Amino acid sequence: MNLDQLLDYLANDNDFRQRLSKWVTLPPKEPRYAPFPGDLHPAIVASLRKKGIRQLFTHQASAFEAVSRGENVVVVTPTASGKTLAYNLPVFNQLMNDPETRALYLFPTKALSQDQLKEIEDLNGKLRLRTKAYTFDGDTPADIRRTIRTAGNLVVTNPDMLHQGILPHHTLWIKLFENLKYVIIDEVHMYRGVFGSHVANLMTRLKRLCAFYGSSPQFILSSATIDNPGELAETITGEQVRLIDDNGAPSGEKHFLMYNPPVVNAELGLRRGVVNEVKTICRKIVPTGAQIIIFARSRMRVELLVTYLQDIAAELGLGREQIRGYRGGFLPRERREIEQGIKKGAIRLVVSTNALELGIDIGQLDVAILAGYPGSIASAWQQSGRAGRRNKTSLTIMVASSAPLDQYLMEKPAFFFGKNPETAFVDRENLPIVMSHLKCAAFELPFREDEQFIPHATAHLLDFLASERILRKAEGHYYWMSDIYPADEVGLRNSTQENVVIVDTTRQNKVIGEMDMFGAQEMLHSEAVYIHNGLPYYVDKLEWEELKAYVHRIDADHYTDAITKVDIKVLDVTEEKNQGRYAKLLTEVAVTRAVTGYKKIKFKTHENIGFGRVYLPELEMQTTALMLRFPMEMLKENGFKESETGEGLKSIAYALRHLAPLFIICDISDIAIFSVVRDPFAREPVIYIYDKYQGGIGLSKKLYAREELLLAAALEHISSCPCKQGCPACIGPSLEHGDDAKALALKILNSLELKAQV
Amino acid sequence: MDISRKLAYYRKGDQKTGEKVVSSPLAALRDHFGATILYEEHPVLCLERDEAEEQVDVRVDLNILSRREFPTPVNLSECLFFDLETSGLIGGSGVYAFLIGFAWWHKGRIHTRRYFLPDYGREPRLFTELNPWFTSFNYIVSYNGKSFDLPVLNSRFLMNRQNLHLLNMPHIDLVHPVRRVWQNSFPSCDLQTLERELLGFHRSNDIPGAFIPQVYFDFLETGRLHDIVRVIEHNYYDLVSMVRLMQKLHTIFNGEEGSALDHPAICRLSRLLSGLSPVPLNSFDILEKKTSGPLPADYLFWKSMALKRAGRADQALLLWRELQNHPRHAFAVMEEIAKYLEHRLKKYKEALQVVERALHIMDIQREFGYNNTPLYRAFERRRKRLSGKSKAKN
Repeated sequence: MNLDQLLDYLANDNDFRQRLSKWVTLPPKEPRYAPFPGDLHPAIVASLRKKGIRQLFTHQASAFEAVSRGENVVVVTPTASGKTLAYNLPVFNQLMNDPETRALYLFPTKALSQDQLKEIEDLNGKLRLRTKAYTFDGDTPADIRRTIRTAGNLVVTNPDMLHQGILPHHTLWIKLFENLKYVIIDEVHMYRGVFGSHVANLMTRLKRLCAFYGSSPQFILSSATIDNPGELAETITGEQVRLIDDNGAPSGEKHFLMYNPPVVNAELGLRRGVVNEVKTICRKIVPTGAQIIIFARSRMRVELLVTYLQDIAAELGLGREQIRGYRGGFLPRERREIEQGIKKGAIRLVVSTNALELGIDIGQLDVAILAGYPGSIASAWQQSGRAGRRNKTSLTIMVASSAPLDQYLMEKPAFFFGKNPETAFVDRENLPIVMSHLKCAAFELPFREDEQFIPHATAHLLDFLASERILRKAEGHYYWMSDIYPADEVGLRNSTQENVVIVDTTRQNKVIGEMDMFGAQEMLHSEAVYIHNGLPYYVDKLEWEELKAYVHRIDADHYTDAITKVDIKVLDVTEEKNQGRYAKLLTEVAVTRAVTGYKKIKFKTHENIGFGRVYLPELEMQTTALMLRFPMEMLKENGFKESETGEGLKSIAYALRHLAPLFIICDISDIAIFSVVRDPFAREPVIYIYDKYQGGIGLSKKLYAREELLLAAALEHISSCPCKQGCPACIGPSLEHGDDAKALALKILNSLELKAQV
Repeated sequence: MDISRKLAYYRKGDQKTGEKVVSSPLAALRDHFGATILYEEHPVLCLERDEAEEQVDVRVDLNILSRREFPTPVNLSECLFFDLETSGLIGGSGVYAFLIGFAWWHKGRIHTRRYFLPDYGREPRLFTELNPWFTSFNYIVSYNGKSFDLPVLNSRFLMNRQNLHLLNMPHIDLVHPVRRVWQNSFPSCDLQTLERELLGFHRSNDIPGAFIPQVYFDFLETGRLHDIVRVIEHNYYDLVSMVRLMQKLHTIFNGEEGSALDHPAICRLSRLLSGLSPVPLNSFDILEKKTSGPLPADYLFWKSMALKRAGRADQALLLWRELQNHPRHAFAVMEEIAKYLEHRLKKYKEALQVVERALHIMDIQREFGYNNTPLYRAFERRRKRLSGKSKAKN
């Protein structure tokens, strides 16, 4: 049975069809070609012809032409549309003319750079160029490093290595910096939030060193489809970048199915679990012989799915070895072997984290199953792109979980299939991050007094560092004055905050997970019952100084729920706007959070069976927040009592937090929300949505611009949720709020008279 | 006027009273050491000092110890010794060399010249003048300079847009020959330890290397001299000890009987000798004269391997027989004996006996959990082949 037959079969399967909230068929797209540009070297043209490429796709040609004109470009293309060629053509063309040319390739992960190196070498071999291309990462042996530094034309690496291994040792890389013509940044949409902010600063450092060595490289970037690729590329590079989104690659017919598991408990709003549903779907699809990729949201989910599916392997008519998992934490060799297995078809069913969402070459599969909404529409399309590339029909099934975001999309598939609303945002000026990179930059090269690292504030920041005795001002320059190696103290992947590791003392002190400091206070305080992978653990001790929580397995009949005191102090209001029935304010705030105690809650009955006290230091964070202010007057007019207002706001807050990632690309854990009836600053009921990172990373600033959309989405979502009194999919688990919370939330939202249409 | 502008004004007024380019701490350092101040605009302190060192061999032979990297003797007066004190110990381009020390030997005296940079930004003129001076030497000598001092200095030169001439000269990094001899003799191979153990010299009031960056920063901020003086002295002793250490290395294979070597040292040396080709067999005699007591098994083992490589397997066999009962080398020498008996003497039966004995001992060891599977398999293969051969012969 081929894929088209499978689609017919599914269309006639009533059980299956009932669960679909949407079946979208996207028509195939014809390729659009452009002739080889005139200044493309004849040798390259000849070797492309030999490869069977007689002309370029339109986007490849326009990228090449723009780069020839000296512009920076960002190429926006879906998976498998020849973007590798788009960014390699200008580089190789330049190499044909000047063999001393150097180019730096940055990939977000190590695995991806290994994979791309193969492609580059392939082209290299075909062009008979003596170009030397190397990956440079943590695994590169010391003796090869020396060769790469002096002789590597193309250095393929990742931002972390550039940050810690290359820039601080720039004098060893003099050949690279002197001759650097191109910087290629692949998958630039990955660089957002904290990571993006770091990478933007990193690029400033890179350009600073290039200027010192007299080079000024052009940037060639690629991005998946997001709302603002051009803006993102410009923030990351700090340069003007031409957007090339005229994708000429063909694609086959695409079927995208939105699948909502059946409700099992209407009151609690619980649906059947994603894992079980995926198993059921596999039972239907595997017999057709289709090769399937399943994307799960976490490593743990991957393992779970693999185990379940391997258990029914015989029933599916597969060998256990035909079902494999793929995730971070595997050895490179193991990963290569799985990639090959997928490519050759030996592996019929692969379950992966988003590790395979990025451009690693695994060939074409028939069906993609998304076990839960992957968190952003951009990701969902990328994952879906793994199924049936070019010319062939493909099928994607997105299986929704009970989370608000998933359920919202099931109700409003149009939102998903309409224009992509997500904006990737990078705050170039997050103070703690800028500070870290300013230190690294000063280590790399003394700052001139009048030098700009970030607009306007550089001198102030340098003076501050000088007063902290980290820099010394002498002879009109700021010099590094410390014996530490600053790049070692900064990781690019997280903000300055540290994590608490969870140590299981019953299994030879195995580390079973980690958690951010805020989360750790709530879930890992001493005496807490912590649920990990569905199993209860008792926390013997939280060693706050060492950032370790020691736990052991227990059989508990209860869990604990922390009592957290949150306090938000407004430091400054940067923007403010009256929206008629409510006001929005963009504020700088200090958030203090402290866990003061916990409740013991019995499983199933949810009785409160005891209390305990917790003594932990307060955590303070300075960040930016969007404040929504609801005038007391307005609420009183609508007949709200104060306690009702609190209940309603809390419920709205839950929905807002969970739906926010629809409008800005971020993880739910990147933002936090807090509602209060009598806010000491506003003296009125307010909801705060704040960035959960020291210094803020611009998320709430982005939300400030689209708060009405967010509120409208919340209203629509809560009102169309099938539950009676609120559920985890809309306003939070029903046990955590009163019976009329859902009604109250709706009443408040309705009283806002929102005009926005989602 | 807001306070920050007032402050700026206030500061300006302060400057008018005249900021001397030669600060008083710098002047005090000059007087303390009897040094000179170079370059009025961006002053650098130049310290010179020399002392008599007459008992030297001017032709330094490092042929063996450098693993033949310097096969012909090095003329001591062509060597420029150098050592830096820096603002960081890990390296990277943010590390500043604030004390750049050189030493050379000339007509019976060790001369030193050290440049102390009393602040940042003092490099350009100094570097311009150093480069031509470097050309009057043919070798540079350092202690661990290949991995630290030279890259740091090179980095400094590059950041001042100059090329470091030292990079073009043959570089003798003494740390490698020293480790080849004394790695197992002393707890550490840093210069201070070697001075104490080998040169009979003990520094008093020396400053540990790890504190040096902080001492410099403190000097920059406070102008206090006490600790920076110790750093400048420290650098002097590093330089002088390097010259003497090079002599010490030279005398190992060229010197009088007096310079004794301990057992760990002769073991390392015999291993070094066994890896050279052609094997310098007479050097073993020199080593044996310089040590006392029965020769250690490690030494004998490597000597036997050297003999074998030199084509004196018959002599090596005597040593192997002796080492068979020594736990560390038993299996290795049994393998050698078996090979020798099998391939050279064609005594398959005897060879088989040796192999069987080795396997027997290994079997016993395996019961105690000591496992050396690759070696065991190798012996098994050898046994199989030998039993075949010995049967065929019969």
